[in-house]
This record gives sequence, structure tokens and C-alpha cells, in this order.
Amino acid sequence: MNAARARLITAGHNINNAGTPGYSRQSVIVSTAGATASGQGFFGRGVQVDTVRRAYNNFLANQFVSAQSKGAMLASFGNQVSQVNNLIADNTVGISPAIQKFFDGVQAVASTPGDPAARQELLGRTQALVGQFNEMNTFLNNQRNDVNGQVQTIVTQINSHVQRVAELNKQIEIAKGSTGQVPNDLLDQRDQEVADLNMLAKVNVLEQNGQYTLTIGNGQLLVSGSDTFPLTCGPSDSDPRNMAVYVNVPAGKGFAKVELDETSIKGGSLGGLITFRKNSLDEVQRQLGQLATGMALAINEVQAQGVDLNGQAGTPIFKIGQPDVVANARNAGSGTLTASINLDGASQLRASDYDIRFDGTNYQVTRQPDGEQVYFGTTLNNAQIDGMTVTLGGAPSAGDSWKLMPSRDTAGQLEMMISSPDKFAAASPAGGSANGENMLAIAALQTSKTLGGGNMSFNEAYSQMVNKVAVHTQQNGAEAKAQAALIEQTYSAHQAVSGVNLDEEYVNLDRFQEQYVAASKLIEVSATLFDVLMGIRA
Amino acid sequence: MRISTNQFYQAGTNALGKQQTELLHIYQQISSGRRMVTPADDPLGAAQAINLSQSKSLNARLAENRTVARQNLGMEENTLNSATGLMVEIKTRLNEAANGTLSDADRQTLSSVIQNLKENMLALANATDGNGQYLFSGYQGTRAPFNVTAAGNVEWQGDEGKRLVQIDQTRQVSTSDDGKSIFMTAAPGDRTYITSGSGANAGTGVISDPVVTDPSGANVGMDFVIEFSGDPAEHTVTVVDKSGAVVDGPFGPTPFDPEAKKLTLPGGMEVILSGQPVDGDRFEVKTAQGEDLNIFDTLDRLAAALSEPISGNPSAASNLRNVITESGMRLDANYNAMLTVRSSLGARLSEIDMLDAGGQQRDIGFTSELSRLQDLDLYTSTMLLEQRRSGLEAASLAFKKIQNLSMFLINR
Repeated sequence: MNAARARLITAGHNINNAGTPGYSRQSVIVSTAGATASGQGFFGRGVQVDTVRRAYNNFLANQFVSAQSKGAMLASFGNQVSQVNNLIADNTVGISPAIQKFFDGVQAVASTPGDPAARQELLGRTQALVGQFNEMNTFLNNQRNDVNGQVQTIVTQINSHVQRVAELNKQIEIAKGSTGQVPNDLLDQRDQEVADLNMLAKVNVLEQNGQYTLTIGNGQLLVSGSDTFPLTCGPSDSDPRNMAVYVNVPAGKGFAKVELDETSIKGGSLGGLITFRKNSLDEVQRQLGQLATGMALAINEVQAQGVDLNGQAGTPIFKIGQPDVVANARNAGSGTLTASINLDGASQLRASDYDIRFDGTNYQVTRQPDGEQVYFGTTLNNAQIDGMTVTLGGAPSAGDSWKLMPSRDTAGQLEMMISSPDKFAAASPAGGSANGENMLAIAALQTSKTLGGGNMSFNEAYSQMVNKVAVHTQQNGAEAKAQAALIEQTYSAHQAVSGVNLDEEYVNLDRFQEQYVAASKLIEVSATLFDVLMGIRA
Repeated sequence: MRISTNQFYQAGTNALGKQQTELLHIYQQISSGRRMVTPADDPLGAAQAINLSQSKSLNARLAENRTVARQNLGMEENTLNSATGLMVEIKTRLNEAANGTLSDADRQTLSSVIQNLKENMLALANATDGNGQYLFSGYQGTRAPFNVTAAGNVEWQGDEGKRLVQIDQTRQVSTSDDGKSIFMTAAPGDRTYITSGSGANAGTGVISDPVVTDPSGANVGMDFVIEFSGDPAEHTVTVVDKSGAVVDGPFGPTPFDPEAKKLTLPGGMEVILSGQPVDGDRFEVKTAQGEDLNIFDTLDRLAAALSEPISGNPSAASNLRNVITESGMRLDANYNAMLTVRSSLGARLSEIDMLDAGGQQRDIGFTSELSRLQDLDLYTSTMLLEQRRSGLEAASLAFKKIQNLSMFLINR
């Protein structure tokens, strides 16, 4: 009867927890309770309950968890990239039409250089163009802030799961020690915590004596037994505008914070966010900056060759953003890097970042993300690198590094430098209010291949950027679809073992109820027999 | 294989979610009318659409440029039309002036008529467009091309800049012509000669009708100076270039035969010279090409000459004849220049019309290509919408049916 009751309780537990996340179906393991030996043979002593075991297959569960982890990564990447994708969705608004309108205005001035209305309109359109660049860059900056904020939140969430796993490790050990039995529900809870953790970031699990050890990145410890090593969040050493994840590494008697390499964070929402930041956001912002700066440089260059309505040589129409230089926070020396964009550098300028390292003797400049070495030498003085003049002064120490970002923020720094419509240098040096020759030269820039080493026009540069975002979004969509199928598959494989089927439990209930009734009948029979015996005696 | 109850519900939700996502996408397509709701729907198409819409907008802008060019050229054409009309009027007056029966008073009247016509011509030469820009001043839109100096003569102060307008992606056309080439110089290719006599001539020599007798003659295209000296006057011919430097000769002195009324110039030319020149008289035969043909100076000189009395003074009469002849030749060259500019205007206008036709053709091409990339085929999409809707309906129906199969529900 006890065995039947245990089975009924377990079936009830299964039914009650059918919807509990991470719950694994449990079943009572019974065996015969042995037999009493007699001259007539062995008489069975009935049934005994050995233990309650959960239906759990480590391999299937792990497969499901890592499929989900990648799914979460794709989802968070997709959420971010689709925002950029939506931003550029309508090609009747935004930068491309602003470029078109600007050049329309240029053509209008070229055709009627003396018409003040045409010049005034061009002034407005120039302002609108600058505004579009600034606005898109602000949007992208906001998105970076949003990603940074989410990274912080996720790190907090990871820490709370890490804490729970450590606690469960402890509880499981205690429970095992006091009963010698496995606390199935605690195991389920711990596995669910690990699964939740993996939705945030890919975490490796190592099981030793029933205790989970969790590591992240390239094996940095998060949990060992009941000890936790929480993550922290802070500005990256190499690029303070990015929130980086720091791990606590034992150092001497205390702990040291070490920045986790971005590429080692895989899977989960955190992986998705960081991949988006590194592969899509940086890239788009660099391309936007390249377009803004390249276009402004090229137009300024032609503007300078003409004369304005007052017969003065053309002054720059645009103010160009300057390269951003970040010295690594851990630099020991006093070297300072300065870089400026060359006024004739429109075509050499690239949508790249540059890593500069000093090994004690040589300076090495590596372009990212293509990884090409673009400079190597013992001095770095007025070096000409991709349309920039780069100089390193002061006294750097061996191992110091800098990051040079010539196009990251320049779309946001673009400004208009003229405020009077007279200042457009429409005329060739011969001058004259009916002379629109220089404006024709500016108008020709609309279709000439000015950027990227003379390979793309401004509009093509923009369309290339749109194409890149679209491809990222599309790829993500396709991968997410495939991943969803994989999650479904691994889920059904996992559920086939661990899941609760209510119909099955219904049948079990019926069966165990019958068993219980039968067992109690047995007791009733025994009691009746006993009463009969007692009656004889009386 | 065990199907867990959770999995069963999960599968149902997934299936419905998938159907709904697809339904929503088609709905978005139909409601926006766009095939690509976001660039991710067709990354390459999105990039192409951006480049195409630039080409389309540039094409539209070039059409506007052509409108501007057509307006400018039209205005110039109108002005030149008036100017050529005025030229016809001036030439009629010139023919009247050549009539020998006129009295000094008649000529005086003609002189003031010519003066008036000159003022009219000056007004046309200094015409402005709607923006107050002078038509014929080259780049200097705000500076009048012709200025009346303190001394009363009209001088050119514009430049020869061409007001280029981009009328096609690879074609710029000048929408202006400078006043200098219309009112002050011979048309390119003009091979005519102009004869003149010095105003100080004391004889009665009248020069006219220069003729090229030998087109391959050595001095065709050169200027000739004919000087008389001695008594009876003999003539010496010197061949010079525009700077006055001697190219050939001097030839002579050769006795002059008044009966021949014809003078042969060395190197392929001859000219009519009647009357009797005397010592110190001087005549010139010059190419119109390269000569300063300031129309206002010509008219001023003509008016001044007509206002001089000549009655009873054969020498003055001859000089007047020479001025009238010279003025006629100069005005012919001016007229010729105007007609040349007008015909070039016509050529430019017809080129613009031709490019307009091409531009419209291209616009249709761009529009249909953009439409192919961006616009939705409503028929297909409506069908798809219907298809997806039935799919969603079937999925939810199926889910509901199977869901009812729980033993807990059946054996209630």
C-alpha cells in the first residue's frame, strides 16, 4: 500500500508540476521486498520503494540549453539590428533624399547663380543634410547607450542566477548528506537556473561530485561549489564608450578585475548585444562617418577652388569632425597620439578603426576590422595613413596601445560653417554673379566616384551601408528561423524523456489507484482472517 | 515517443505564431503597398532602389535645368530677334542715306534717326532677365555689358564667360552669349572685307566692293593700306596684319588710272576705287575678322558724318560716301554675327528638346524599374493573404480539436 501511495503521490506531483519550468518527470523506483525463506519455498514479502528518480538525460538537456542560448543571442541581435533596419527602411526620408535634395539645390544654383532664392534654398538644404547626418548618428549613439544599459542589466541578472546556483549547490549537498537520496526538485531548479543563465550568456557547466562549476568566456570562473565570482560592468579599457564585462580573477590575496574579451562572450542575450555592437553598430557608424566626412571634404575642396558672390575665394561649407583617439586606460607611458584628417583625403578615408601599438622599439598600426598592418616603424611622426596625418608624441612605454577612430563619431560632428547664401562659391575664379562653373563642378560630385579610393559615389556609399544592415537583418532572420526549428527539435527530444504527459499520468493514476485498492483489499482480507482466528480463540 | 503536454501546447503556440508572423508581413506589405517593408526583405533590391531613386531624381533635376536653359535661351532669342529687326531698320536708313539726292537738312534728320536707333540697340544689348542679370555680360551678371563713357562712346565691360547649364549628365550648354561676339566682332568664319577711306582725304576717291579674285592668293586674309603721294598722285600698297606689321610690300608707287576705277591689290584681291585721290590720301581694305566692329561706334560715326554739311564740297561728299559704304559693310558683319548666334541658339534649343525626349524616356525606365523593385503585386499578395489566413484558421482549428482530446476532459 505504501508503494502504491508513493506512486500516487509522485503521479500527483507530476500532474501538479506539468507546467513548472524545468521540471523533470519523476517516477518511483520499486523493487520486490525480498522473500521469506521457508521449507515450502520463498514467500514474497511484497514491494518496497527504493527511491524517486527524475527522468533526465544530461546530453539532451544540454543540447536544448545551448540551442536556446544561441536562440536568445539571435533574438537580442535581431531586436537591435531591426531597429537600424527600420530606421533606414523608407528611402523617401533620411540621408539618401537629403543628399539628392542637396545636389538638386546645387544644380539650381549652378543654373541660376545670381538668383538669391536658389542660393537660400541650397543653404536650407545643406542644413537639412547636416541635420540628417547628425540625427542618424544620434540615433546610433542612443542605440549604443541602450545596448550599454542592457549589458549592465544582464550582468546584474547573471549575478543573481550565479548566486542561486551556488546556493542550490549548497542545498543539494546538505540534502544529499542528510538523506543519502538525490533531491530531484532541487536538481531541476539548479538545471533551470543554468538554463536561464545560458539565455543571458553562454556558460559552461562542469559537474563534480554532484556540484556544478560554472565558467564563462575562456574558462573564467563564475561558480565553484558554493563560492561565487560575480561579474562587474564598466567602460572598456580600449574604448570607454562601450560597457565591457569584467570578471573577478583571484590575484594574490584578493581579486583583480579583468576585462572579458568581447569575442569570448558567446551566446545568450549578452552575446547578441555585444556582437551587434561590434559587428553592426560600429560598422554602420563608421560607414556613416566616412560618408559624412568624405562628402564634406570633397565639397569643401571644390568650394575652395571657386569664388563666392562677393568675389572672395570660397570658404569651407562644412566643418569636419576630427578623429577620436583613445589611449588605453592601462598605458604606462606618457605618449599622446594626435591625428587629423587631410583636407584632400576624401577618397583615401576608410570606414575603419586603427589599433596602434608600441612594442618598445616599433610602432605598429593595424587597421580594423580587416586586420591589415598599415604602418610599421620606429617613429610615428606625421605618418600618412589612409587620408590622415598621425603623430605620436611624448614618451610611450613598451606595450602601450591606442585606438584611433577616424569615422566613428564624425557624422555627429558634421556642422555647417557658412550662414550666408552669398558664401557658396558658385563662380570659377573669373568671378561674376552669372558664373556657375564651380557649382557645376560641385554638382558633378553627385555622380562621381569619390569615396573608398574612387570606387563609390556618396549615394552608393549610403546604399552600401543600407545593404549591409539589411543583409545582417536578413541573415539574422534566417538563422533565427533555423534556430527556432532546432530549439523545437531539441525541446521535443528533451521533453520525450523529461516531459510530463497528462494522459499518461491519468492512466498511471488509474493504475496506481487500482493497486492501492487491491493492496487495501489485501489488508482487509488479512484483517478478516485475523478476526476469524481471533473469533475461534474466543 | 512521449509527447509532453507542455510540448504539445508549445508546438501549438509556435505553429500559430509562425502563421501569424507571415500573415502580418503580408498585411504590412498590402497596407504599405511596398514589396520591401524593410530593406532586410531584399537587401540588394533596397540598395538598388536607393541608387535608382537618385538617378531618377537627378534625371528630374536635369529636366528642370533644361527648363532654365530653355528660358534663358528663349529670352536671349527674343532680344536678338528684336536686335535683328532693328538692324533691318538701320540698313533701310543707310540705303536712304546713300541716296545722293538728299539735302544736308535731310541728312541731318537721318543722323538723329540713326542716333535713336543706336540708343534702341544699346537698350537691347543691355537687356536683363527676370533676376535683373544682364543677358550679354558673360559671367558679370550684375554689370551692364555696355557702358557709355564720359566721352559719349559705348565701351564693352563684360567678359566672354559662358553661362553653362548642365542639361544632361554629360552635357553642359551655354545659355548665354556675350555682347562682344554679338555687337562687336565678326562671326567666326566671316571672310568679308571692309573698305574705308581716311576722313582727312582731300581728293574725291571713293572706295568700295572689295573682291577676292584668287581665293588661294598669297595675301587673301591680310589687310591692305593704300597710300597716295605726289602729283599726279601715285599709289603704294602695303600688305599688313592686324597689328599693323608689314607682311608684304610696299608695292609701288604705281600711277593711278582713274578710268580703270579698279585697283588690283597684290596677292589675290581687287577693289573699286573711283574718283581722283590726291597726295596724302589714304584708304584701307581690311578683313572684318579680327577687326573691332563696335556697332555703337559705327552708328556714332555714321550719325556724325551725316550731320556734316557736304553741299558744294565734292571731297566731303566722297568722304561721306566712304563712311556710308564702310558702315554698311560693318553693319553687315554685325548682322551676320547676330544671325550666327541666333542659329546657334536654335541649335541649342533643339538639342534641349531632344534631350527632353530622352529624359522622359529615362524617367519612365527609372520609374518602372523602381516600381518593379519596390511596389507590391496586389493580386498575388491578396491571394497570399487569403492563403495565409486559411492557414492560420486551419492551425487554430486543428489545435483546438486536438486540445479537446485530453483524458482528463473526456472522463470528466
